[in-house]
Amino acid sequence: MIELSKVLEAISISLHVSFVSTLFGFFLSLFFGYLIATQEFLFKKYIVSILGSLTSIPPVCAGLVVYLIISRSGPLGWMELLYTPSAMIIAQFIIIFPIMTTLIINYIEQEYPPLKEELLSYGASQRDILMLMIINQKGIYLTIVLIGFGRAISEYGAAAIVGGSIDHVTRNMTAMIALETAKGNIMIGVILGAILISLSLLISFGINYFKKND
Amino acid sequence: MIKLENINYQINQKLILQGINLNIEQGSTTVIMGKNGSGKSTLLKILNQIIQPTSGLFQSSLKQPIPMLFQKPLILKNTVKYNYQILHKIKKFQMNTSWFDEFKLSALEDQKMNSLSGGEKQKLFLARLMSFDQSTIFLDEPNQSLDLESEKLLTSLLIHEKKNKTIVLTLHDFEIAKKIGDNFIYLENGKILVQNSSQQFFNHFSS
Repeated sequence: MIELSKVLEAISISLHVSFVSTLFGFFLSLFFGYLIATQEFLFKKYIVSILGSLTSIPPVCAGLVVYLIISRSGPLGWMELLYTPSAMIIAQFIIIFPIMTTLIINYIEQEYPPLKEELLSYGASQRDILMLMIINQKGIYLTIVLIGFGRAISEYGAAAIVGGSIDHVTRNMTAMIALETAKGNIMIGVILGAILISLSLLISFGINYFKKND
Repeated sequence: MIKLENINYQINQKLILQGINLNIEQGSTTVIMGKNGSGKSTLLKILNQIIQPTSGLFQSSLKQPIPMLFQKPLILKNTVKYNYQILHKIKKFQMNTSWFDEFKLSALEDQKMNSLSGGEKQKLFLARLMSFDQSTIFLDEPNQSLDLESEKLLTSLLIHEKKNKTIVLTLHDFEIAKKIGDNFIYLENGKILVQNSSQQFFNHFSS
């Protein structure tokens, strides 16, 4: 029988990895999304289109790319990131970054032009405009964060390839569900699955709440 | 104060303004009129240096854009008071709070913006702009959504303000224009159709 502490540990690893990847994902998406949406530059259309295509990247492929980069013979092999939570964070980041960036670009492309004209007349800097856009549409940005977090915490393939499901280190909820189910501990898999679904539902409720109350 | 010579403005291959010649004197009130889509708002934005003309000569004594009233001004999802004050915080402008009472907004100050009518919002936008105490004012359709009483208030305020300010505004209403304007422009398809002082301008439209 599996110990409760191991289940809690898997939940904690899942939350930690997904939280950090979402945090990085959001701030970098905000930066690049704002830049792409507000500036005109060569190949902009192509970049937006590539980002759009990457929103549906299979997690296993994202994991494979990260694996090739951070494995011992890869360009970042010297950093010894393979089978660490950091590797899982990078893989999840690669999955959620295009999703969050595309959502932010779509939103800013609609909101920015009329706001820019008026706010520039008040002497606002680009930073002021961005801050006002965030303050004014907190719900939209929180929704984007939750969408990213939801995608990160529920994915299995990428984190499994680069994390390796090492006990106490990289065995998150999805890895434990796969492992315990394979071992025949269906009940544990069901319990963890129920927790994961509850988290997803909680995120959905959060998204609906912010949409309604914004 | 502001001089435009043969100004053209083009966007996506479409000419919005063509061959605009205009001279705005300090202390005058200039009313820009014309149908929807004639280029009134674009001309106002060019005068306030928010957009640059595609070609032509532009000279202005204003060094940079100044706060102006847009047709769809910024609304932040918060209270009326917050919306009145927030734009002053950008550059720490001095705020003249008397305009808040002038437009009878005190009773609404804690209300959320989405609970306001179109007219109440417009009064807030006008009060917010006037609170910057500028010597030059650009207003894009300031009387939109206002009821008769508020429109009268706006007209009397503009008549009072024009004594010591340069005002440029777009309007559809000939009656208000007649009361407050010194110079008038009528735009049609991006070109100045009529440009005159009061009597000649209104004679053109009455004939």
